Amino acid sequence: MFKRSAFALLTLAACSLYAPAQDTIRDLLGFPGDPPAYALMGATVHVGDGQVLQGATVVIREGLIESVGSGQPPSDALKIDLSGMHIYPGLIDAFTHQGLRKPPAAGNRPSAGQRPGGPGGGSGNPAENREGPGLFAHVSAADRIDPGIGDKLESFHKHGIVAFNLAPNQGIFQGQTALVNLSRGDVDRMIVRSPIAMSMSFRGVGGGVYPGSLMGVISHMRQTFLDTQHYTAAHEIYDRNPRGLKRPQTDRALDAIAPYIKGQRPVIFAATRAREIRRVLKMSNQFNLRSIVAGGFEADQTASELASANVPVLFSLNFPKKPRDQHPEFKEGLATIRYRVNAPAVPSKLQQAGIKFAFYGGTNNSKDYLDGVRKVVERGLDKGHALRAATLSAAEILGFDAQLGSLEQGKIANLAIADGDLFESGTNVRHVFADGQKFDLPVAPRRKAGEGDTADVGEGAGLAGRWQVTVNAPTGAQSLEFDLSVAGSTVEGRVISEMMGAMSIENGTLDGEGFNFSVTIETGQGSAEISFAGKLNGESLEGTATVAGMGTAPFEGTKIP
Amino acid sequence: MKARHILTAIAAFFLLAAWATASDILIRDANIMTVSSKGTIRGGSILVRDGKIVAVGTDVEAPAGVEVIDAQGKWVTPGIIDCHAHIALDSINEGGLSVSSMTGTEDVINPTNFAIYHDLAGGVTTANLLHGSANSIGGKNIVVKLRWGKSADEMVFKGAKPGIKFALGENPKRRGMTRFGSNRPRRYPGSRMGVEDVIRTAFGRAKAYMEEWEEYERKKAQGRPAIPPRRDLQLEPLAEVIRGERLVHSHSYRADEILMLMRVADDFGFTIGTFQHVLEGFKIAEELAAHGAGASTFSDWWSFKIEAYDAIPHNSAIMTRKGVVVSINSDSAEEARHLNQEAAKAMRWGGLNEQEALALVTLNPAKQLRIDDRVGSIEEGKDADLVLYGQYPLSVYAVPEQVFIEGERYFDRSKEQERMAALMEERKKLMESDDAKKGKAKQKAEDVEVVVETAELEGGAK
Repeated sequence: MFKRSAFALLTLAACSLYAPAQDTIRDLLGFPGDPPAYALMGATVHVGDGQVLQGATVVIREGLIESVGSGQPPSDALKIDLSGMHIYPGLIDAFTHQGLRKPPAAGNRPSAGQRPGGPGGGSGNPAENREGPGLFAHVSAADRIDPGIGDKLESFHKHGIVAFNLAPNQGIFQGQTALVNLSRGDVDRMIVRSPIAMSMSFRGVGGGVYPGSLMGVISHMRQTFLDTQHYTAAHEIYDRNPRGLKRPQTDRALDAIAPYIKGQRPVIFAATRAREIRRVLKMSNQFNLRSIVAGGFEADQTASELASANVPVLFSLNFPKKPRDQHPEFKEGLATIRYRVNAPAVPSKLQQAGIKFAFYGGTNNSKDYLDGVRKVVERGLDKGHALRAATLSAAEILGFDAQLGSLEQGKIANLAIADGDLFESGTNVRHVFADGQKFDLPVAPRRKAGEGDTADVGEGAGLAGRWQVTVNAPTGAQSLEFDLSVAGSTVEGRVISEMMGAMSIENGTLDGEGFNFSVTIETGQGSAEISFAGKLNGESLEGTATVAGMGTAPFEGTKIP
Repeated sequence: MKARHILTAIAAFFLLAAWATASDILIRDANIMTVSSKGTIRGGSILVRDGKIVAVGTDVEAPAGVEVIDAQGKWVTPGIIDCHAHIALDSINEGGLSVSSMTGTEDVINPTNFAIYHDLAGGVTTANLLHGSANSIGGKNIVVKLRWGKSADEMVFKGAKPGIKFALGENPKRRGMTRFGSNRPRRYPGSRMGVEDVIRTAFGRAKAYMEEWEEYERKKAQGRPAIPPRRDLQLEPLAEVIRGERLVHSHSYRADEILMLMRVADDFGFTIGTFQHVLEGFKIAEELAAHGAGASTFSDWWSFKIEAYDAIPHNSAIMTRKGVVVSINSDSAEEARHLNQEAAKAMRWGGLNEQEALALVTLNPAKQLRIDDRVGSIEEGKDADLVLYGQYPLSVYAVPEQVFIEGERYFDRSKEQERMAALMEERKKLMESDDAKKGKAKQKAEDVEVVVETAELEGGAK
């Protein structure tokens, strides 16, 4: 049908940005499809630690941030002009269950029956199951990532989220969390680090068995931590004197908990109310845990206690809501209203109290994360600290700040690039770098306040609409469609290839009858830009397409009525 | 107020913290029902310093810097103690097991539960928060002072003897019976006999557990290698019961079962702390007295289930006359608000005198909870937990006007309207900033204005 020339294939490859690896195409092309480095130039760079650099250049090479500063970009870097854009560290959802595969139907503690060291391991009463279920400490989120997550990356990226701390969600000792990068590739490549922390829930297990109540859950936790202490000690004693001592049993769940009672990794406890937080602090104190509170809607009431215990907060952006099915005449109690109304203002109070905190979405929709941060900002937290809580603080609390959380030399290249201030509503995330991989996000035509569907009037407004375009490449003609909208001097929309789908227009400008815009072509390992420069002639247009480093080709188009 | 601040500052400067702190008060011209050998003192005064009662009598003067409350002939009683409450808890029963002794209500106190404030308004200052009665051996209880506004830990009555809830009869066996339509797993026991078996088996295990530790300690003392036994949070409280370090508070109705539990206790060498409800206690009052168990009952609440039919309102009086330490409890957030009246019923039914009746809800529950060295009567050296009643406390007209815990005023009826107005104001402000209602609230506020205007017009027309 058409020649498999580099140019045609490049165009073709560009069209499926969120498709899986494109190694085949790269091999066919026979040239390195990705640039050795990117130089992102001209943007406002929010480092994440509070610094903001105007017009700095961010250089990304081999998945890492090579430099952030004002120096000349390396000559081999693909230069991308991001003037007017804002670059942020990729946001981190510090605690999520999104992207988790469904748990196995059955599954419980790995070994039942006797506990180490004592004959009284069983209940002593056959009618009773003393240990009860709820012990999933040995479960690792890294083993439970949904393989289909690669198809859903855009749902995270478009809200700026580029990494998350994935937590299992079953039982009381729910298992160990993993830091996952929302990049392309197989699941193993997405895991940046595992395990990160132990996730703990105070919810009882159902089915009428122990522990079914909050009281029971707390006792169960305490007994299990004691068991872990005992298990560890028993094995140490046995290892010194294996001859003549009964061998303590092996228990995978307790093995998994052991590093946590030694303070080697943090334990995340779900706790929103002040009294729940105090329960966590007590448990934490009793077993010398490095605790983290997740939830925190009343954390401001316990600020001094959190500070003296050095316990940070993962603050949920899934704020308390009024139940939708509440009877319209039902009068809520004052305490309920207080709880709901005050929650979004808590982060700013934590900031003032010097409590370290980071954000997590708490829902199955990443939109709630970004909306939540915006609301927290609206309720008094300054944007610098909001950004920190969405990036660097999460990394520090969870112990991976050497790898992620800020735009600093040597860190993993996770970036979110927005067309404005990320914490203002109406701003869109336009590009994301995840593990150095570039992603471009389609953006719905922006409607500014007061502009309706009929607002596209004036010179050049005729450009808006759908165009049938032919690119006369040196290797043969390529059919494309432009779907354009115009707002003032900005051109937005998509370039659509019949075979591959749509890619969104970047840096689109309109000056009189002349227009310029570009699209980014993605291959397996990198991307290149095609820029279109043309002129509108009533119902037709013509111009030149340029592929960086490859050459130029004329194009012409007619309006689709 | 300002003078007080200055005094406080001076006191702090001279490290005389005891001098004029917030909980220093003198209540004068009161009829004081002391529930002590002093009986009722007419026109007396109580001096409180640092939360403690330092003087009671007719000739007590107010030192400088002490707030004076003129009772104008009103009545003061010790703070009421409710020996059986389930208020202010985030969970009450751990129903998954028949022996849930590893659980404890201390872990789940909800200090924001409004029942605390209601209790205070009824003169209750101390409450025994018990696990429910779903299990033969329930969870550990916690005694709290109702310090409304404070955290859970700050409410805990430090120094109260630890306890644990047991339950006999219908409730603990209910989960063991087949029930039509229920797919929950059945749980042993399903009979009254089974309840005894569960308790005996548990204590048997507790004894074995104690021996296991003794064996380990012996080996360790001899320098032999030994792995310490696993700590068992289910058995440790039972070991404490055997050692006499923890009180058993047992839910009970029928005399035969009460006798059963006393035999079990005798066999394992301990004494039951209290029988709760104990509606048939009058039948076995002498046995209760001989065993040394307390009895915490209702005034006249019965017939809510078959095992609670054989009850009489004279129960508390009869047991008292037979030498049992008796208290009257609420087991209910509503009943707790008028325990003074519940106590008064024992004067009508059984002829207890004024002091004996009031002791049912003050000194006697204090004895049962082993906190009578601190609370339960108005005597020098005890905590200043006090209730100021507008009327004779054992009348149906009596309503607490002020309630103090360790000299701090936690309830003041004269300030209630003010407090409610402030809460309404807060509510209004919060609703204004409540996103969910932003548009609507505004609309409503306008409606209110319109309504007011209309009302005024109508008023003017008439």
